[in-house]
Amino acid sequence: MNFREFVKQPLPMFLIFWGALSGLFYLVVWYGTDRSDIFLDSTYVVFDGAIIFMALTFIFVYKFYGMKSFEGKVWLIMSIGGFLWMFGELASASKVVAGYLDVQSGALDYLQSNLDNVIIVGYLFFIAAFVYKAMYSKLYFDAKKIGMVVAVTLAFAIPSVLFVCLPVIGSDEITDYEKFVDVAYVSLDIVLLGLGAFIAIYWGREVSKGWYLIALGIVSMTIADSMIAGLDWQGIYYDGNFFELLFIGSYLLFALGALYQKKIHESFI
Amino acid sequence: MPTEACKMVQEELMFLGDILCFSIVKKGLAKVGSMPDIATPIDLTRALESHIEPAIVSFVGPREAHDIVLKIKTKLSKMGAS
Repeated sequence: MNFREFVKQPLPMFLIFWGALSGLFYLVVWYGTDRSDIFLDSTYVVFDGAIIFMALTFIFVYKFYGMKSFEGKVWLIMSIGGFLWMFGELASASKVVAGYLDVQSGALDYLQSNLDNVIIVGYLFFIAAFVYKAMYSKLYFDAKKIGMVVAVTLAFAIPSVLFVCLPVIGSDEITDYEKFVDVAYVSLDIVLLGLGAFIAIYWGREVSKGWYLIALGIVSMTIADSMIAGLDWQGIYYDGNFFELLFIGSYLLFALGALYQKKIHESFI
Repeated sequence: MPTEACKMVQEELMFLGDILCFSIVKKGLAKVGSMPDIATPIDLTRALESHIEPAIVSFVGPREAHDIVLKIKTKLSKMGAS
């Protein structure tokens, strides 16, 4: 199945539609409103929609392969990571909604204060899924390919460490826990980007083009994380920022990649 | 009831999951005009080349797939495929 045929199918078409709708939504919020909190917060609808579709797609793809298949286990691990991210984002949105409804909830406050832990654990599941998948593919040394992976990773890692990690670690204005969270996000992004480069360079060409989509999703997410970390560090980040579109794009690319894998394998049965 | 040779191939590919494994072998055999109940080692070798190997490549990449197919072909040749 080629990519053109793939995107004409209902589910991929829906995901692409959601991406286009999200872009339009952010444009309207930014240029068609006074950008008051309620409009900026309304972007949670398309943002959380994207992450819900990603998590549901992972489960759908996992169900196709089943638990007995190694590929099924890969998508199950991804599903757990996806659901943790989804849970984290929904908890964040619930807190915002509760604020508008003037609802006080100890449980929501507790969730809010632990959101980063949930999302960080989600990252670990994504990394575990890629590593597990790699265990079933013969890894071979190719100096050019490894060089590209290392170059891409270093190109992201060096500025991330210099401009985010080191200032965060040296700061007196944030708590040790906040330092841990900021450094963990950057470190996990570096690992994930390295894996993304590996996936694109090794698997995109040789295994399935679906992995290009997933690698692109990882790149989109790491760029978004860095941009938002930078804005947050300067104290000028707020919900509804345009960079969030990169997150939405990454969630939808993950889902499209998963569906593409499934379609490819369906064509063999 | 699949033939012994077919069962062997299915067992080797069980890491793909039972449903996918059975379906891929069945479709590969259909492509060469055979089916699991009557598949000979020669049918299976042809099915491997025409359908099963490309399927395995899409899961594990060409190098690992090549090793898996080579292992199966060696076993099939011992069972009578030349």
